[in-house]
Amino acid sequence: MTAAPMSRPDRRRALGTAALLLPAYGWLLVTVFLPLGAMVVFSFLKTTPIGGSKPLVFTTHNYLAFIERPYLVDVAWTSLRLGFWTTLLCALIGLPAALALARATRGRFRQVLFLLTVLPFWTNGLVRTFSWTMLLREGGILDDALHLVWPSAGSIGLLYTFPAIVIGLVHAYLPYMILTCYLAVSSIEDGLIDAARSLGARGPAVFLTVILPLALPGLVSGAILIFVPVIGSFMEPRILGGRIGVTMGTVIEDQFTQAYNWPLGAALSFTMLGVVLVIFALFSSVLRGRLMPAAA
Amino acid sequence: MLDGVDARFEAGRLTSLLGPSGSGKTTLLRVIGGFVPPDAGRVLIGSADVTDVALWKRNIGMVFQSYALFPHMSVAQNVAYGLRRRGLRGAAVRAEVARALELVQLTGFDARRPKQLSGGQQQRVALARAVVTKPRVLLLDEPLSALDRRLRQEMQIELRRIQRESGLTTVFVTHDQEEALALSDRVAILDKGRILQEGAPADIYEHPKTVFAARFLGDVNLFTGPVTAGGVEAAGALIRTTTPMPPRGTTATLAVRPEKIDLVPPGAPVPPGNNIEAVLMEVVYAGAMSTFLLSAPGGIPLKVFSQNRTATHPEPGTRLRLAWSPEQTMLLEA
Repeated sequence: MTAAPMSRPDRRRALGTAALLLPAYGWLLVTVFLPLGAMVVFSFLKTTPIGGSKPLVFTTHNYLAFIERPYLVDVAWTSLRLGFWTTLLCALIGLPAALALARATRGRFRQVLFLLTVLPFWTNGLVRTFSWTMLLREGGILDDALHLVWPSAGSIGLLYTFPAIVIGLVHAYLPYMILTCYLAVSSIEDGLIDAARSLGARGPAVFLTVILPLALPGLVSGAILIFVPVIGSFMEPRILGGRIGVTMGTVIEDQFTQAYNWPLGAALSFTMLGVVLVIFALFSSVLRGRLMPAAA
Repeated sequence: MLDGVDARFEAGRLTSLLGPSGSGKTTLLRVIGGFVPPDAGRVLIGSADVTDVALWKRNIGMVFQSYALFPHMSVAQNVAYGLRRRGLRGAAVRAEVARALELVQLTGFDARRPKQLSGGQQQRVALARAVVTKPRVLLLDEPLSALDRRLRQEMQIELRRIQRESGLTTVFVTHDQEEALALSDRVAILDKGRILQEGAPADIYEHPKTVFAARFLGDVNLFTGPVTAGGVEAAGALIRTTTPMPPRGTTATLAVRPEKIDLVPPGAPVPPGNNIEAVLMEVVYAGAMSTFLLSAPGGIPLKVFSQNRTATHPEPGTRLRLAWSPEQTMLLEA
């Protein structure tokens, strides 16, 4: 567009748009960017700037934590593995569920099923997580159920293991994947599947060549919605992982609530954010290649 | 939806299934294609019974009303899809795709996405995708209904050419009688899940068997009355036909198409054959042609199409004499 002066209706339109956006962005500014900005400043401080009237001393030292404390690399690796397995399991469970919801149900039945999938959203996180401890611990409900069927089986105390944390996280985050996949899958026209079949595609081929590529945007946005909070999660690792549940989430939480080292906690958060962004950047370039394969 | 349909589609010909919505024409097409199994009866292609053959190996080509192009694939990938499912790869696929795109005149559009194409171009891609696998039957489900009038007429001609060149046995579903008449070797009229009549386009247009068929294929003037010596008494006249008539005393319906009727100028000699007098109610002018709406004695509404050779029209309210030949008069079942 050339730099012609805005006509009257155009200006009114722009003002209207601004008026509509202002509350949202005003709110974000106050509640997200100000505290986040404060955290960025904190992460370059030597000590927590609360209580006392010590002068502020700036340092980049906090960002060297991963080099100076090598065990943090292991912790970060645990977090990434948690993110990977939780996201993968959510995708493996969520996509079929979304497909079934979109293609095989209708009316009231679908509404009820939907309600059931979002239930985890409406249960208190602590209650949800603690109820898993009842299920997963040695001599818990799952263990008892197994011994009812197979008395000679060994005990399966899953509590305080890596799988226990993944189970709790999958339960918490699965609704995101189902909802994003549902949106993608429900826009797939029936005709496309008929067309693929009439051209000689059997069930698996229809899935791989038509349904999966068209569901991919839903899988990707679901994965992003799940991966990021799982990396930073601390409640599930702490309650279900116990001693082994040391993740970036719990380490960062400790810095804020136990060690009272806010600068280090903030610096670790931003380092982790950086790692996640790098992973997404790599992932998205791979995806772009996948989405636009060379011509046949 | 279907009620004891027994139909044969001649090899290498284009047959239209013509009917109003809900007549079962799409259902019949889907049964032939194998998208839905019939409750009873068999589907044969050539001499092979394919009733229990799965859709994916039935080797049919289908063009959908919505085109159903794969949005995540390029034009070339869409066309290649069926070939790849048959295990073809590489140069063989590229050659076939190029030929199919040439057939539908879309050479050079290989890399485009369906979204980047106009409705008519998408239509051509859908057609190329359906014919490239050399299917035993080509099924078209109202493929032109989403196009505007001009484009639709162009695509009709195009479709006819492609069908002739490929020599594919084609079944074409439509609710548009002009389209069916213009395109087909054979037309089958469906209503309420039954095939009412089947024949060459001119044959079923000129000799419909029932009032429904006559009306569905175009405009028609109906005269219902008692059968007397040599004709039917209606509209204050005796209307004759060359078709053998039912016995005297019964009631019969005769019909004539609006374009077969001549308007006899006042004072001119009355031609032999059928003629009646009617009052002109309205003239609908449409450039090349005008439609005269008239009322015959007994309140029978009549319609006459007249080429506009002169620019003058009689005024509404004028009494006009209408004449047509008994050979053009059709005897219809109610």
